[in-house]
Amino acid sequence: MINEKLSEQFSSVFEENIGIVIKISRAYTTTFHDREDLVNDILLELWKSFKNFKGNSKISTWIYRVALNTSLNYKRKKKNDSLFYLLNDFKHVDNLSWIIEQDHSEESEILYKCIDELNEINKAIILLYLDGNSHDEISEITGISKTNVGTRIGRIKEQIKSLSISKF
Amino acid sequence: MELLELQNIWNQYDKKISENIRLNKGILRKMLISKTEKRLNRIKVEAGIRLIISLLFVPTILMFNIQIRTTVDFYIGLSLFAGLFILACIFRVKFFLMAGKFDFSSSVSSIKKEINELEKYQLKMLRLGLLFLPIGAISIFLFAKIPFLTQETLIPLILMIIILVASFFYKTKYSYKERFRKLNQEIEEIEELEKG
Repeated sequence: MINEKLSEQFSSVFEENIGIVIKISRAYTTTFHDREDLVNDILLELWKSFKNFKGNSKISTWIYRVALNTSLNYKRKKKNDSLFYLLNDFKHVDNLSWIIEQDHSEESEILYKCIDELNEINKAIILLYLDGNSHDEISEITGISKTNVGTRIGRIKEQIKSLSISKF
Repeated sequence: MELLELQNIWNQYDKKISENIRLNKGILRKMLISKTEKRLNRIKVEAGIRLIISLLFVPTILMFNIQIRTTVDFYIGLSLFAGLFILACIFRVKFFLMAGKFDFSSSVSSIKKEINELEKYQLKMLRLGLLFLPIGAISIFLFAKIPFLTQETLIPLILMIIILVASFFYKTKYSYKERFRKLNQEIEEIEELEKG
C-alpha cells in the first residue's frame, strides 16, 4: 500500500520533470541507444533516492543533482566496464523509445554541438544556466561556490563565441 | 553565436519537449515499477554472485586433494594463504560497501570527489593485489605440497616471477603513478571550485 502510494508520487514527480532528464541525458550522450541507457540509469538512481528525499531542497534541484551525477558517472562507468555493459541485457529496453523525443532540428544540433565542446563541469553549469537556474541554484546543485559559478559562466560565454566563429 | 541565441534555441527546444512528449501513464508505471525494481534486484544478485565466486575459490583449491600434514611448510603456507584470502575478502566487501553508499542526490562536486577517492582506493587495492600475488602463489605451492623446485617446474616458475615483477614495476612506476597524479589533481581542482 505504502509502496503503491510512493510509486504514484514518484510517477507524477517524474512526469512533471521528465524534460530535465531528457535534456541532460542528451547532453552527455551521443547516440540514441546510449541516451536510452542513461535515462534508465537516471530513473534507477531517482527511484533509489526518492524514499530518502525529505524535501529539504526544491524537487527540481534534487532531480538536477541526481541526473547530473548519474550522467557524469555514466561515462566513467562505460569507460571502465565496457564488457560488462556489452553483456548486460538491460540494454534492451523498448519502453523508453516513446519517452525520448527525437528532435533533430538543425538548431538543436548546433546547440548540443556547442555544449559538447565544453568540459564536464562547464557542461553541467551551462545546462543549468540555459534552463533558467539562478547562480545560487547552480551553486547549490553543483557544489561550486557562487563566485566561481559567475566566473565560469563568463568564460563559457567567451568559449561559445569563439566556437561559433570557428565552427558555424 | 552569443549565449543569448543559445538561450533562445534552448527555450524553443524546451517547448518542443513539453509539446511532443505525451506521457502514457500506464507505460510509465510499468517502466518505473517493474523494470526499475527488477534492475535493482539484479544489481543486488550480481553483487552476491561476485562474493560467492570469491568464496568458491577455497573449495576449488581444496579440490587438489590436499592432505593435512603436521609440517612447517604446510602451516606456513596455510596461514599465509588464509591471511591473504581474508584480507582480500575484507577489501572487496569494503569496496562494495563504499560503492553502494553513494547518494546521487548530493552536490555534483562532492560526488565527483567521492568517486575519485573510490578510484584511488581501487588502485591501491590493485597495487597490493599485484604485490601479494607471488606470495599467495607460493603459499598454495607450500600447503598443497606442489613441488615447485624441480627441473620441470623451475623454468615456468622463473618466467612467471619475471612477468609478475616486470608488470608490477611497470604499473607502479608509470600507469598507477600517472592515474594517482590525475585523480589527486582532479580532487584539488574540485576543492578549489568549492572554496571560491
